Amino acid sequence: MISLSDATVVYDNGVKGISSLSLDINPGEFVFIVGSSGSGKSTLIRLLLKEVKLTGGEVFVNDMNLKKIKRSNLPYYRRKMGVVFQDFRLLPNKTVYENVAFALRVTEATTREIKRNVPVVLSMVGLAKKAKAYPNQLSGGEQQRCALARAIVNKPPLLLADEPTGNLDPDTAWEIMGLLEDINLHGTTIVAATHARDIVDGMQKRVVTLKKGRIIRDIDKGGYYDEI
Amino acid sequence: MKFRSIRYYLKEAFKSLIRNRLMSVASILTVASCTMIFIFSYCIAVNLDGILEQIEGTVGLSAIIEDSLDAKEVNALYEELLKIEHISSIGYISKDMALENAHDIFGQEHSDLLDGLAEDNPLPRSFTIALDSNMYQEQVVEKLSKFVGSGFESIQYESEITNILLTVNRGIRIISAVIILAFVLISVVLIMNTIKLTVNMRSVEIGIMKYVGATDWFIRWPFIIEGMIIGVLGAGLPLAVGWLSYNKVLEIISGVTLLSGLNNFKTVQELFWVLIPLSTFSGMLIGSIGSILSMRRYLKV
Ligand SMILES: Nc1ncnc2c1ncn2[C@@H]1O[C@H](COP(=O)(O)OP(=O)(O)O)[C@@H](O)[C@H]1O
Ligand SMILES: [Mg+2]
Repeated sequence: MISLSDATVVYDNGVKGISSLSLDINPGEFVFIVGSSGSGKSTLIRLLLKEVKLTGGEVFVNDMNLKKIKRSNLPYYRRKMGVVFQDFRLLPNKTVYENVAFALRVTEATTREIKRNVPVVLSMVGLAKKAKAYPNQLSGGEQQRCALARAIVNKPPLLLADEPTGNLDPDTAWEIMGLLEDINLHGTTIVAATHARDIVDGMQKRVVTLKKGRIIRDIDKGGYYDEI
Repeated sequence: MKFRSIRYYLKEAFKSLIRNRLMSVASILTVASCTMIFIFSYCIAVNLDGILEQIEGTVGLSAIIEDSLDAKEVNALYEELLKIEHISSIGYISKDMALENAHDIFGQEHSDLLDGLAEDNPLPRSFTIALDSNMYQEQVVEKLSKFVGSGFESIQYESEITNILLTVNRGIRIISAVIILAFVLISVVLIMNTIKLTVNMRSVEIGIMKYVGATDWFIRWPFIIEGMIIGVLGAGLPLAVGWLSYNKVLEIISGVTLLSGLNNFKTVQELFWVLIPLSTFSGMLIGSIGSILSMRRYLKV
């Protein structure tokens, strides 16, 4: 599903976001990317979104060579993955329903498809009753549920999450994690960057630990790794 | 592009226009001023062309007859003229009539200048020739020229008024072209700012749209349509004003005695048949160019 070999991202100012990073993620996996602030977690997520340029090495996502994706094909590449962020990134002028529907609209889905799929994902994330609310009328947890609904409404094989619980209180964070686990059980591969120790420890998933842009630990099932 | 997408683009464009109504109105008014000037100068230019035709048609030519010809020969010449196509009427100016005309031109005060001429009148006889239409002028002049040296002394155009009008017409066209160009630039800049404001406010949104997999065109269209709406509304306003006031303006012009002889004005329909599609299309073009220019930067994500 995802394969990086010697992947390096150097920002314009010369700072290395990740360096010589090699990593393989199989379909259906649930992977936490952990590490202290500045270790390169977001850079990895953004690389998979092709939001930052690959400076060196090779990256394959969904069997596509990242380097070979033309600018004009980028939207179609991104439709094969969902993404959620710490700050939710919902469209403020649209209702919950419209925010989710939007991800279908950009694919020129039919009105019927929209009417059929949006309510299904909204009830799946527990937001059916808030369909007509605007983002600023929602709690943080509800906003993240909405963002999750938007991320999965296209049924992408891959879901990326950058600090999805970073702005949420612990109880809500657990609810969101429960949803991610549900989504994963339906077959979606999940890559979640986080530094939420309790959650990583509690979930017992594969954990990849980054430090200064490099992998310093990769275990199949375990908890948060404390650097020494 | 699918119909459901077009509906979505339209909805987004209208929402955005209403959200930034102040800038929208400002842009619409600029396009409106631009179009107004265009309509104004177009109406003047086209009508002036019509008037020129009317005047040129009545002015015609003068064929100066050689002094050596006797009456019989002049008559024979007249017969020849009748054979030429596209001549609508032929008038004969005798020596006495020519002198009388000269008196009219010089007026009472200076008529003493012409006193000596009465006995030995040096003014030539001539034919005044009116044409069916001005477009046959060259053709007719060519035929008349064959008699120059064998009956006619020379062929003269009476084209002074025509020349003045032509110059005026050209002047109006140049001035209006410059003004229109200036206004087009101002319109584009204002629309660019309106759209930029929207795009700016929505740069976060545009980023989100890109994450979700929106193509550049999916993001662009609502803004382009927004610009087009500004352009069309901006063109529609002066078109409506022009259409409604054109006949009133003609009435006023016809009331001015100096111009009362002119009746060759174009009808509203004749003018606006061209103006409506032309202005609307230009408005849309100006609007979309403004939009596309203002968005270039934001789409590079
Ligand atoms: N846009 C950027 N321009 C320059 N340097 C950046 C940029 N984004 C991140 N970095 C740098 O790249 C490194 C990795 O950052 P990041 O991937 O955001 O880490 P994390 O998400 O783990 O906190 C840091 O040193 C950071 O300063
Ligand atoms: Mg980060």
